[in-house]
Amino acid sequence: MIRLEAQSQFISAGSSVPLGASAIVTIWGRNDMGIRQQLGMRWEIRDPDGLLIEEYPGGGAVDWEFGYTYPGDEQDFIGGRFDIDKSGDWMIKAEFVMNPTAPVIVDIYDGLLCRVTEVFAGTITKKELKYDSTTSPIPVY
Amino acid sequence: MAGTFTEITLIDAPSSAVAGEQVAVSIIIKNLYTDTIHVSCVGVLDSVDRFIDWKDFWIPAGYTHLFAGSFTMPDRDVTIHGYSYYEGVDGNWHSDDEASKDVSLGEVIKGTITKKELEYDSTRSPIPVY
Repeated sequence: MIRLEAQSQFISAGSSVPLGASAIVTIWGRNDMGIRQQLGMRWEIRDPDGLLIEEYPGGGAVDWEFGYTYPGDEQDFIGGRFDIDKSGDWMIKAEFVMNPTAPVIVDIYDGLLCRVTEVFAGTITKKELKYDSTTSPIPVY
Repeated sequence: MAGTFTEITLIDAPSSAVAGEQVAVSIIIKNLYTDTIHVSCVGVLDSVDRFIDWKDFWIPAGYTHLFAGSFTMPDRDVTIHGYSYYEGVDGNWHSDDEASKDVSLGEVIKGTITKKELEYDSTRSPIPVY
């Protein structure tokens, strides 16, 4: 029996991020109230040395959606592009905020963004066996 | 409408609060008399729970005094009742003015981060990415 499996080209769970990649973070928040709400988000991304790499939307502000999100619906927030240029643990602290007139942080993710491991890459290009003033490529027959 | 010697000029409290929230209330009473009088204040929640319990103050003529209290918001709409009393020459407390304010039950603001993704080199992976 032949079984065909389809998988989105964008889904790659469990894969590691290659050093040198250009990355973008997207985070979704859901309105768990019974009335429509304006949702907001902010986050900070720090590299393995603890340096602030991205502050979304910036200056500690909150990016509020233009419209409203109805009960049970979600809203996505897309950050800016940044380079993964160091190996190690990249961290993110994201705060999901509601109620623009008196902002309330309703959910937080404070943890690992990604773990970047430097890949050691190399190739054996040639193998030789030298005998009696003769050099031959391995295998020698 | 003012009383004979006092007037509750304001019941200061939020118009809504979520269940379990501590609600601060200020009841401001003005002395309408031409001399200092001994005034007491009572704040009652839904005519049952007394959260300002006979606090008294000598208020000079024409002045106001703020009586403060608080209560824990129950899981329903409530009405705050404020009462003012003055001490008469007979040594008894006399009811003088009353006012009320409604506090509606507010909805708890809640939401959830449902998904986090990192996109890199045309690949999208759920955060954290190992």
